[in-house]
Amino acid sequence: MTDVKALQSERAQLFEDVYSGKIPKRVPIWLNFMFDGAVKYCEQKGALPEGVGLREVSWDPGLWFDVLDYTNPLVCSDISPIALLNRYPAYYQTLNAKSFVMGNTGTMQHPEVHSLEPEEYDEFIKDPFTFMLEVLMPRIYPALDTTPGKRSLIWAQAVKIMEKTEETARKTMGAISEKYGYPAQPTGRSTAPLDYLADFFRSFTGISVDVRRRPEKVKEACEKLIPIILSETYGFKDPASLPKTFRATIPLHMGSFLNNKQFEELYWPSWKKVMDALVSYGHGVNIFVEHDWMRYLDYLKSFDGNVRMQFEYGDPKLVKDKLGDTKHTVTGLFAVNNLKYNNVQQIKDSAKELIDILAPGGGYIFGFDKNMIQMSDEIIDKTRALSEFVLDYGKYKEVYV
Amino acid sequence: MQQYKVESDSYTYWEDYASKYPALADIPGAKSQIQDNVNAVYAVVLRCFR
Repeated sequence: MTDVKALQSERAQLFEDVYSGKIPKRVPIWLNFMFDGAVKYCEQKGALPEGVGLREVSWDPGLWFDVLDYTNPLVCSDISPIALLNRYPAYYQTLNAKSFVMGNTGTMQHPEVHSLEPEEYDEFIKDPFTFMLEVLMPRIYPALDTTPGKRSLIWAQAVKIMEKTEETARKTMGAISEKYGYPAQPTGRSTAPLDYLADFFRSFTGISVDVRRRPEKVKEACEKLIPIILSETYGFKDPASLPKTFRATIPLHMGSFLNNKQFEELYWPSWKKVMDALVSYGHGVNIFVEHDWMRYLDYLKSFDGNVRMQFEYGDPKLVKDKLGDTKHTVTGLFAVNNLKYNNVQQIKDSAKELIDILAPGGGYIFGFDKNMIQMSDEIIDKTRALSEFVLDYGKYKEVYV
Repeated sequence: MQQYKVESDSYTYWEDYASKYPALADIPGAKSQIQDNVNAVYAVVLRCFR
């Protein structure tokens, strides 16, 4: 077995252990840097062709491998630390999207948009999929607001772009994983129904009004979105046909902006059904607990199966108290701002504090509280020192057993 | 375990398709040819909303 294959196998074992409730050999490390920052770093270092920056790279998937190949070896992480772009400008441009637009710097931005009007809830609830297709899509993708013939052609172009780009993305990530020894992490995107309703249908502003003025409609709409969300998670495939290592990924948006009553009555019931369905096939779920969810830890604790929870903000001791004796996995809470504003010793101290609290007994992956946007020589040096510290201090036999 | 299924006038399940064109029902490969592509396109529709 080559060194890379051995490394890949060792890393896969770390995650298998942590997700199955065993104490791994050491605390796994899962660091995340944004693709945009990696591209800009490559540009600064002359690692891209002359005149090529984020805008050009975003439009040319053929350059993605070069960006990952240059930046991945700079950071030590048990999973590829650079996530690929997942908002493809060619796709959104073809559809003349209002939902995602490229900013001046080349970053894809999500403006506050809505497509569903409050008086349309009843029609939406009757057949959400048809309403999305016939009414809402042309509103946020105006290129589709044309004659049936032209609409068919534009949609065919968009699907083709999506297919080709996804294929390139898959091959790129596969090649990088094989070259640097990252384990395969088959995943699909899922969503909490109220977040799905907020993100593109009603917007942050709209849903914030709706949870107060028309909560029954919100609740009904969320229930109707469950099968749609689950279908997307599995790409409409039979969930049983997917590998056991498949994990759905859910970023959580609206929870921290709701009061406890709204959360309990409007957010939780439909999301719990989605989570129950996902774990019922034996798959895990990765949730990104955006902002501060400390008041909801008892809800999170009640999930079945293994749920990896990446916390952005919160009290690690409280998290350990609530989740330490469950089957779930905790990560996050290491503030990326540490890398920008603190020196190496302070960074190590912060990491030590988290490991001391969260690592005993297993169920912990060392990770950032959110994706790091910037990449620079200084940040790379500090991240390297951080990883070396965690690799050493996070060894279970030496520290805890 | 509760099963969830998209109920929509716009979603085509193979069973509905095959009942409309019964001659296809016994042809090996017809199901995957039809359903896989339906699913791929519908998945992109849903991606428009997240």
